[in-house]
Amino acid sequence: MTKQNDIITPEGYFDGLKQRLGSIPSREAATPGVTFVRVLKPALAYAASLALLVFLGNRILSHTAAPAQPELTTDELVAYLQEENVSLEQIYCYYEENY
Amino acid sequence: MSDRERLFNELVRDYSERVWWHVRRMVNSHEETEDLVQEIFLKVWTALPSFRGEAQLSTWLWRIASNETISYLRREKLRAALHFASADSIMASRIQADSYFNGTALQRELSKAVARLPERQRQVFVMRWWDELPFAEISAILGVSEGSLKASWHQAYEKVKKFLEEQ
Repeated sequence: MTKQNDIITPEGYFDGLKQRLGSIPSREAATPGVTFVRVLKPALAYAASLALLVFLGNRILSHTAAPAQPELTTDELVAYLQEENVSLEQIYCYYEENY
Repeated sequence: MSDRERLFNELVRDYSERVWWHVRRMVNSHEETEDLVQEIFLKVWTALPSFRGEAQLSTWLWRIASNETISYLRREKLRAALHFASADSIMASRIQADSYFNGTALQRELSKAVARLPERQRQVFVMRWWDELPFAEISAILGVSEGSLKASWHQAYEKVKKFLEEQ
C-alpha cells in the first residue's frame, strides 16, 4: 500500500503536470525569465528598508488610526529579507528593542 | 530537439511526480506545490547547461528541489513573522483545511507532527518516510554524512512520536 494514499489528486493531474512542465523550454525561449527583484534590486533595497520600518511601526501602533500603506507588498519585503539573510531572530530583536 | 531539451524532458517524465510528492509533504498545500514544482523545474531548465556531471543527474535534481523547498519554507516563516503569526500554526491550519486530504485522523496528525519539526529534520523525515529514499541517496542529495543523517532521522522520528502521543 502506498504511503501517499491519504492525499488525493484530481484525475489525470500528473499527466497535465508533465505537459505544463514540458512547456517550460518553449516558454523560456519566448520570454526569458527576469525577476522583478533582480532588476530593481538597488532601489528595492533602499525602499524596502524604509518601508520595513513604516510597515512594522504601523502594524504595532495603528489599531485605531488608519495604517499607512506600505510602499512594498509583503512578497517583495519577504524576498528582500531573504536575499539579505535577515533572520527571524533579528526581526524579533527589532520588535523587542523598538516596541 | 537539443540535448538540453531531451534531458529536461527525461527529468520531467521520470522525476516530476516524485518531486511533486516530496514538495507536497513539505508544504502541505496542493496549490503551493504546483507553483513550487514549476519554479523547481524552471530552475532545473536554467541550470542544466552548467551541470557538469559532478553528481548523478537525479541527485542534482533532488538537490535543487530540496533547496527550493527549504527556501520556500523560510520565506513563509518570514511572511508569518511580518504578520505577527506563527508559521507552525499557519501550517497546522493548512493541514486541517486541506481539501485534498482523504486519510484518517491519525494520518492528519502525523502530517501536523512532521510540520512541527525543524526544516532539515522535516526534510530527512519526508525523504525517508514518504519518499522512501535510502540513506545513501539522501546523503548525496543533502551533502551530509550517512551517520549524521541517521542521527537526524532518529531524532525526527522520536519527536514525531512524542508529538503524536501528546494528542
